[in-house]
Amino acid sequence: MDKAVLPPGDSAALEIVFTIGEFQGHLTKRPAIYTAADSTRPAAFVQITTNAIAADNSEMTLLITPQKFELPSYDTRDSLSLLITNRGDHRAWLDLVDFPSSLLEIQFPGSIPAHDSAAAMIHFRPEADSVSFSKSITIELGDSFHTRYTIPIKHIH
Amino acid sequence: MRLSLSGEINRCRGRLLLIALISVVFIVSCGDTPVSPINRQPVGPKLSIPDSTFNFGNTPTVSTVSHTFWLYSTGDDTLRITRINPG
Repeated sequence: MDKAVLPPGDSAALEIVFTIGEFQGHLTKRPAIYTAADSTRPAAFVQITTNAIAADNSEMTLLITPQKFELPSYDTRDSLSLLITNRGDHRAWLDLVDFPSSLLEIQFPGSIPAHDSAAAMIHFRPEADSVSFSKSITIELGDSFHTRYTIPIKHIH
Repeated sequence: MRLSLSGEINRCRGRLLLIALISVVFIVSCGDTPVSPINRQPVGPKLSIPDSTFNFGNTPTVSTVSHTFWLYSTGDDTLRITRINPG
């Protein structure tokens, strides 16, 4: 959290970092937030859900390559390329749902024709050069399930 | 006959005035009671999280993902967050 004391009308950012192990399948975590008003009962909860999948999962409409980025300190690239393949029979409409805008700038295809691919470009902002971070980019497919995909980016300074 | 008619009209006017007066009293009593800052009950510190859930969807195994939630202090006293239990 960026701050723990909030005067009336103020706000704070709470970053939840979730490490997924070898487990495959649906996972839900519900961190509880306690305040000084009551130390015994949570004042509120936040909830994150995910579906951990193996790299070779062929059931997904989108194939994203690479599935994740792990950039060691000697990797000095200032941009990354992400190839998104639409394996479905219909045009895939994509929406960028969540990404760390203070560290990254993303050029993203709005849609991909059926059985076609498109590249997304991830550019590091100058602020990202001097810090280590574990962030992620979440995209949403415009299907009836609003299927989401998250691409982790780990950068070691 | 003319006097009698005039008296009837006056009585009707009186009744109408009475009904109008009762109506005004009724409307005023049914309206929202104005709340002055003095009458308002203190809320104390209050935490609000409008978007409290996030779905990452499909994520690769053996990886780390993150999401930032926004917490708002919507009470009338300072909110102090003491701990986060991972859950």
